[in-house]
Amino acid sequence: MTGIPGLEAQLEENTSQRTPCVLVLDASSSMDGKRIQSLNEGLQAFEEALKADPVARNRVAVSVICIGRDNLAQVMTPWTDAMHFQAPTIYANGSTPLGAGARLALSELESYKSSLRNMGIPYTRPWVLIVSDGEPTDADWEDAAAEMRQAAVDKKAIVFPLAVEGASTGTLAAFNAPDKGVLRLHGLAFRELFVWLSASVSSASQAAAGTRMQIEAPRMISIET
Amino acid sequence: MASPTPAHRVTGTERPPWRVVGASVVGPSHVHSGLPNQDAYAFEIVDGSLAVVVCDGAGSAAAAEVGAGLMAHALLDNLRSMSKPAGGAPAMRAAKAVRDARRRLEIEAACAGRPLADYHTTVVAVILNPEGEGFALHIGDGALAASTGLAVDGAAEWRGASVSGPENGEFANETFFVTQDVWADHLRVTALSGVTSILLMTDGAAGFALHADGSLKAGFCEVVDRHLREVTPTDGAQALAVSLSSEKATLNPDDKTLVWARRS
Repeated sequence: MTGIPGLEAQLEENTSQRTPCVLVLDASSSMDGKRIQSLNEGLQAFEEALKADPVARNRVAVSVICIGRDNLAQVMTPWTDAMHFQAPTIYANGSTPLGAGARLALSELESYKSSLRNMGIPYTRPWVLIVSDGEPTDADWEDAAAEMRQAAVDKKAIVFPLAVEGASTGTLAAFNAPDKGVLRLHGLAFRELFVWLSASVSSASQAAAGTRMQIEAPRMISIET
Repeated sequence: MASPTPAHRVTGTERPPWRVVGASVVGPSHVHSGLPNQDAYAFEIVDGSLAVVVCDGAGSAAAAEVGAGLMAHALLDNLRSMSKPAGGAPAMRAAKAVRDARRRLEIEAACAGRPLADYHTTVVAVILNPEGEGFALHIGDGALAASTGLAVDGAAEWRGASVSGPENGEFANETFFVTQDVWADHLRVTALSGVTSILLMTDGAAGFALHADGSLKAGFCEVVDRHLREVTPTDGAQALAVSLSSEKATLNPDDKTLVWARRS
């Protein structure tokens, strides 16, 4: 059985939608050693899992923001389609300006959405993963947390604060909608975390109109509300 | 003719002056998660007039495939009775057809003890008389393209075609449903005359036919139209289903439905 001759060449989906996914990663000096090593291995797993997924590689867009070095938040990986994503190597250094990281994530999202709109490319709700093992060190982090929380409440973004062992989930909860809570990573299961993230964001990228998605947390992560 | 569409469904028919071909295929993401095909379509040719309805049930709705099938059926019944142009302005006739079809869904929902939101579905539909005159109605995403011209070789001319494109919220996976209370605010009606060829699509297939800016990809329409007018409707429907299920097409994981009709 054959299809319509010549139609294959016309099936370019040039309106292929994007699911933006921004990672805010704590690379402060307290993450040094095994933690940062595991985080880097996790990022590698994220790259591999996204590229192996035929839909996600076309539809998920990734940006990586690190906080720590020079006590700043910095974009390590500007917005990249998953098929071209190369996991950066993170070095632990400096303090924990988590508020600045959250603000940078929000502004990166706004500018990316605006460029997608200019190109006529539709997008689904963005994902924000915030990973930290400590207390924020910037003076106005609570204001920044409130901005991120508002984005979550207004359903402008799906936020996943994740507490590495030792971090206070109470602090990270300020970055998310009150009913959404915080993920807690047990041990150094960054690899499991990022494989889960890839699978989940892939599901989100496949969501058709009106789809509500159920996400199952992996074994090495618990959710505290 | 409707009711929940099986995983793959194809139909081809010819009754002058219309030839109609339809195909609906389940998307790979639905296969993967064990969901049924939540698209539905229905069409009928009565006394030379053509009515077509294409519905896309919301993935988040508990009975999306039932809603899409029921809406396709109910709206087809209502549109069929509106092929005579004496019924008033297109906008009023479209609103009445949708209102009456929603009532059927409300009764179904009440009997099943479900909220109407369990049946959320979009709708793209058209009613055309034997002269190709009538109107299209549209709520939510999906698309419709209607050609009124003919190229020198008798093929449909898609440049300058009437297009009814998708209406989405900020996010691509958010749209509007005929089953929402605010349906009337999102009902879009396009008056049509002299239609020679027409395509109706659910969201999964609309991306193939429209450019990112919402304009029509004439190349896609031409290839579909030329082939389907050269083969029998039954063969055309099979070929359409194969194309919608091809590896390249299924890079879009959604269910896909396309109905083509041509007036001779």
